[in-house]
Amino acid sequence: MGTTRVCSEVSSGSSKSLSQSLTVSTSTTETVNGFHEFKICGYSLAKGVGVGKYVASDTFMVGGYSWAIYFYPDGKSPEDNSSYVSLFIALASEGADVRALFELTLVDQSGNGKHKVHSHFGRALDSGPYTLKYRGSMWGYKRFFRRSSLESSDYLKENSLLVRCRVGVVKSVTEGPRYYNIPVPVSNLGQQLGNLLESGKGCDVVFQVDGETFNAHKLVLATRSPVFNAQLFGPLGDRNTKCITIEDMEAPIFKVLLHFIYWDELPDMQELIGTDSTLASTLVAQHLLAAADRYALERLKAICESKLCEGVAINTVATTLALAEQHHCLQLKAVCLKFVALPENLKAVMQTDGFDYLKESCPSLLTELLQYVARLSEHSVIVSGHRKEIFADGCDASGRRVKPRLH
Amino acid sequence: MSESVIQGSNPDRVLSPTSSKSVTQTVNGSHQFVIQGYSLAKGMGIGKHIASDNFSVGGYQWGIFFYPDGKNPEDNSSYVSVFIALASEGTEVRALFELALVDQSGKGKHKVHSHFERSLDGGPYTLKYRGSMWGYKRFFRRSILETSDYLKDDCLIINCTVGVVVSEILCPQLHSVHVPDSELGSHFGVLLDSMEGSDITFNIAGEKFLAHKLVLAARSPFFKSKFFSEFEANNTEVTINDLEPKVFKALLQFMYKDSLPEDVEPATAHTFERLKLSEIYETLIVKVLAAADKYDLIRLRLLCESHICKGVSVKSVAKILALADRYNAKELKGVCLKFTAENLAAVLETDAYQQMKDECVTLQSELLKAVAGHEEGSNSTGGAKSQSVWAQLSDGGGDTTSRHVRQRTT
Repeated sequence: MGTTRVCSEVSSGSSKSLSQSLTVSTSTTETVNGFHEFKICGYSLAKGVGVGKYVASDTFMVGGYSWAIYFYPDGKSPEDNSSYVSLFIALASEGADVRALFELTLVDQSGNGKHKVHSHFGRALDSGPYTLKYRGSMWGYKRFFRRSSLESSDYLKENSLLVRCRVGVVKSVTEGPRYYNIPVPVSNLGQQLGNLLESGKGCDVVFQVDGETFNAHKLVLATRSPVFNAQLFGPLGDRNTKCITIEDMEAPIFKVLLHFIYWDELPDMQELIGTDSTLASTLVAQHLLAAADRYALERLKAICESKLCEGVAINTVATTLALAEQHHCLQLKAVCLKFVALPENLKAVMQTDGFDYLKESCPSLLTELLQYVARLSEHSVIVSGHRKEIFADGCDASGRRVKPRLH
Repeated sequence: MSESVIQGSNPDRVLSPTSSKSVTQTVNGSHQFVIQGYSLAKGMGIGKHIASDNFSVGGYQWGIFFYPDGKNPEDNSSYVSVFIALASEGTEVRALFELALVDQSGKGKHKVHSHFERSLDGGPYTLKYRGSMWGYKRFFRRSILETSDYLKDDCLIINCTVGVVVSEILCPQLHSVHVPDSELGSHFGVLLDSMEGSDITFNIAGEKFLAHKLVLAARSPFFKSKFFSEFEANNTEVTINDLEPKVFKALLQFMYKDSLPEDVEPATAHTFERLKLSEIYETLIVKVLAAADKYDLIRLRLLCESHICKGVSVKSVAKILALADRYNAKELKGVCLKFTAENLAAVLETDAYQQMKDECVTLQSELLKAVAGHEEGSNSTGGAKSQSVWAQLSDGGGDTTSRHVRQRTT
């Protein structure tokens, strides 16, 4: 059985979803319209040409296609026995599945305006526009008008008929303001409040901390911290307080606390503590976590937890664990327990001063630590027995046995 | 030798001592597809679609496909289908999807199909290649759709969200602590709602608003000079005569919460196409834009510009350009000029442009400059407009559950 080795370095990652802004596109379906007037002179000579035979108009262009009107003096359909005249609009150019709206008007040439109109325009179409499948496809009416009635009507004048035709070719255009977004800068609420802190304008309270003084605004403190809210504006608080002394906190820690209250983020740590060592950062984060808990700054507390989690190490983990227990940082506590419970870490951690402090201040943690060690020992036996990938889908939150899944 | 354990996106999962961790998350993007002219679109035939413009999420291009007569011959045109397709090259792209048909009556009863915020038994959906789709063959029964609140002025609106699954290996790591997002806005929002400790009252057209001088001074140079100057520091009431109460309320909300109020009108191309310019000037968003300009609230002005920008289209751009010019909305104006330059012929034919050109003579020369600038770049690839006349996707095979249809775009 091989020896299990684990690197003790850790790094943090975010499980947050990354968002982008909304984009919009619009598809507009409408018709490109065109008109054509077809005058049929010499009707009496045209009739009698036979069923299915037609007189065709010249072609005209609408919506990128050619069209023509077809007039059948003896009708298009043999069944009608030449009783009707037929009128059609045909697709005269190449095209497949051309969709269009149509209107056919037989003009009343007496001036009475009683035109005979068949139209798609301006009315609800249950199944949508008409589709012409290929060149030569037609739309119209086999029984456009009864011939005997036509020949005695006002539509026939001086042996002429006048047909008006409207074609609306359906077009669909999709457009989007591509790259036409206006980016909105990230919130500057914190920066503006931070500027307020730095300028000192409108300050109404002074803090005495560890021999240093800090000016601040009661309203901002109360808004951001429930503890300050109670202290400054609560029923037991003193509304007229002008000076507050903070005990048991070092000045640099309070400075960071104040910065966070206004800026909603931490200042540059290296600038603050003068060194970029991990140990110093950990110590600051530990003190800051205690301060955050004291003033109920939940987000600051989480930030400190995250930083301590990143910097967990042999010589500091016990102190951090005790701190996590005292300030109810459940996530951080779990991380520390697991770190200490690792076989190669346990002995080393137990030799640190922090561990002695841990035993004295939080003896119940030792019980939990033992449980973690037991869990890891059990887990280690299972894991070391297999050389293949193990998927954690079978693992529950308490880290019980993982069933290996073979591909 | 160390073993490797790969797991899903639950950061709280307990890990074995030899573990490395894969953090899986989604990169999200949203797109709104406005379909105008539904009555002309329907009847185009089964399997024929209207496509949205492409949009980018997670490094891939996507498109929304609307089938007015349905995608599936068996449904006999009884249903409309909606799909989201992978429009760029890609294999085995995993994603989460959300499709929402917008209730345009204002009741908020949108029809939503979503992967987000619910447990996925089979995990995210996998799109195998370009043209693969996710969606519904039976998205809505057509006869019901045509009499519903989803169809308004012959127009449908579909909101789509894509969450592309991305993975990064963090090795090795015991745990990470989740840091919540900033609460600064919500904290001051609570203060705004309670108005505890307020020290100033605004009289806006007879309506009273309580506020805190400190917050307003921090957020607005206008109010800073007003409250922190020696002459007016002790005032407890301010009267403003040229604002409406709802506009001032929006200003307060921004100054405290750093966001636009919820009752701002949604900005779609259709909205700005339908309204006259005089009516557009009366909308809340435009009034807030004007107020933001006056009170030097730069970010609020940009929020308004970004919001109105969503309404830019061929038919609306002239109106939006006019309002951008009037209220010093520089970024919005730039967007409109650029859009107009790229769609010049179509824009010049619109009624909105005919009305605008007499009122804003100086805009003509700015348009010419934009066009001149655009002509230099006219050889570049890509454009803002794509035209589809009944492009047809072949249906590669039936799928009774309407999921995972293998599809390749022509």
